[in-house]
Amino acid sequence: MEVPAPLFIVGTGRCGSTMLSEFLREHDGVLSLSEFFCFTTDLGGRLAQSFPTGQIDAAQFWRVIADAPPKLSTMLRHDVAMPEVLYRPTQASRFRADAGVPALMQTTLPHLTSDAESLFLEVEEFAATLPTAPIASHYARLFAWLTARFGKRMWVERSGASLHVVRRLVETFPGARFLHLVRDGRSCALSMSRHYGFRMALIAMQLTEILGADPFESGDRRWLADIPDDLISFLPETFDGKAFRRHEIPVDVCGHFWSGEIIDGLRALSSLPSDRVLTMRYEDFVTAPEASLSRFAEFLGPDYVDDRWVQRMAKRVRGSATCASTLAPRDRRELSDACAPGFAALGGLYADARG
Amino acid sequence: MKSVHLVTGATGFVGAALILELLEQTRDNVIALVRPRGGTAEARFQDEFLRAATIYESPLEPAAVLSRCRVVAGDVALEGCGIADTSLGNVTHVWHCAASLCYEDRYAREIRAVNVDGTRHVLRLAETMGAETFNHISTAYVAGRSTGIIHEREIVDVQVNNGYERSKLDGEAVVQTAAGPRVRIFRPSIIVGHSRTLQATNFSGFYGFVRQLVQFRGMVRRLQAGLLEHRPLRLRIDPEAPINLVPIDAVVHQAVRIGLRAASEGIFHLTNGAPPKIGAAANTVFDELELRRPRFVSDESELDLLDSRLDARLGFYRSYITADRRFDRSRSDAALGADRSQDVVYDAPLIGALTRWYLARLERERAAIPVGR
Repeated sequence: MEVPAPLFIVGTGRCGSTMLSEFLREHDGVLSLSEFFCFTTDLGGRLAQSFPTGQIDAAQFWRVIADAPPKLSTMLRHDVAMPEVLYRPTQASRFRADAGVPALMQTTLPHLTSDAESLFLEVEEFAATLPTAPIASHYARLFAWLTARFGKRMWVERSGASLHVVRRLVETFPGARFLHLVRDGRSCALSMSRHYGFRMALIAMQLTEILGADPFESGDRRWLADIPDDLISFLPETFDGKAFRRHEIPVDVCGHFWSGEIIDGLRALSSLPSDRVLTMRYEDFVTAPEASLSRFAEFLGPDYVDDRWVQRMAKRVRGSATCASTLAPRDRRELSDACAPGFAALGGLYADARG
Repeated sequence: MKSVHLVTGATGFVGAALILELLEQTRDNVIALVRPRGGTAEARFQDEFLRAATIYESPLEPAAVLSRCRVVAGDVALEGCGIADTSLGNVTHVWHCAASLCYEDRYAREIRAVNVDGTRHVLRLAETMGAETFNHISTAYVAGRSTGIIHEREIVDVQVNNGYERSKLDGEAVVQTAAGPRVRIFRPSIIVGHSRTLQATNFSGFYGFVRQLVQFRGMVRRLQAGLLEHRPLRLRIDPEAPINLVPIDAVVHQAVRIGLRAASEGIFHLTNGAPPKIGAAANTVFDELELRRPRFVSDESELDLLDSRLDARLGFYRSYITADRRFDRSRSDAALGADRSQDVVYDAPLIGALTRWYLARLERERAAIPVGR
């Protein structure tokens, strides 16, 4: 049986892709890698570290995947972790919030097994055997090993907001295929504005531009006085979980972010042959789950079409209630304006929204 | 007989340049009051002094004139400036340059401690030492929200824009209570780099405005690359109002010239008599940042949410960019007489050069910024 090319599910985040990871976990032939790049890149901030150029040895690779990501660790420590984080430290657990939890352990391994700590040790043992090689080779070997370890035949990686890294994925995994899951930008933006992961990413983005360095990676505080009072509580050394819960990211900012991710993501995907990219709408999964899941299964490969899986998963599709119509008229207008470039880039997929 | 000048804020933008000017224009000695931060006061002063001498291309031989400087560790925020009177010896003139240029609310106590209490501490020290003059570096922006002609006289009952302006206004009030020394209050406008070399050592004011734009541009690019290249930002400024830029060398030259005239006292504007228009200056800065030229609006209601975010970030600079006011400098000009130098004309090429100089420096400082994608 031919092993199909690797497959990534990519999207802007808050587009419903987590649902697909959960469904794939139930598929007999597919290893569902969930949030791998979201966590190793620490919400998209560690791109240079996660996609280094040149050759890296086993120890360096281990640091890429097993270091505690500083932003996510800060969130865990202050009890504002994203709901996607499956590993929740306890008194008895191997990893503690105060010391930080390895990137791999936050969601990816707990998504695969209830005994993620044991699996982590196995991965560590395997990773130590890897020869010095480009990062692409390390990732490919690790994913292949995990696929075999769980008796599967192919792997599918999906991370929230992975359009942010899609250019890196295209470059790192030549031949890979991409399912691009899209959802109405207004709904995505509204959901992003309430989501702790996006809140942290957008706060860190602002702090980074003000300080000229990522404060979670660097101690450079020469422009500390430029940080406005409403962001000062989010430096790692002064992080305040209560202030974080109260802090609101305006929905139009998320709309601009959504548009930016769509435009850049489509640009990266446009370099690929059409048979390696499938674009699907989240809304179609909600309104026509069986048809959509069948189409998705066909894209996985002919050997992965499983009608029983499709029927079982179709029953589990639940639409999200997030709706931009609940916004005040001015906010709704600003949000639509912010999403307009993204809708335009998507062409006819959301023709109504463009009007 | 040689005089002795005590200079506070001796490692700051104005202080270091002023010491150079004093050493150039006189044969006097200088006592530099320096707050030690992560090292000795002497080392800190020497570093900053030599840096200033280099970047302003001072004709002095730094090593030779350093022997005319004595460094005393102290902190103006402390009673007695944290020094024993006896450690200073005789002081003829005091130049109080130390100031906090912070503006966010969280710095409110620090701003007051340095700009108000600090002024009081230095003034008391001057009185105790029997100094002849007390020269206080304030700011032209104690004018707050006043518009029109701003005269060189005490300002009362003015609405201020922020805690910084309030602190400088209150600092001036402290100075007016002086019992003993003759008092001069110097009010520079927006101090920028040297008129010839363009270099500067402090990056508030004009540079802060540019830096806020760089930061905002970076944030928007991370949100949506290309957005600002397509869409002009709206800026709430009065494009026809003047923006008063003055180079550091002009400020210290004029302050020292006025300060060396025994009879002079009172308030002096160290401002530019020929300031450019804000709109033209903003267009030049946006050109240098490779952003579309902004649209100028007068009312907040004309801003959309993205514009509003920039507007909020530029809040501290509101005083510089919205009010149409002219700083009268009759007293300064009269005191300078024939020494009055020509105003530097900040036309588009010069503002462009200032901006480019700062952007290049900022780019080096931001070299470690992580990639967005």
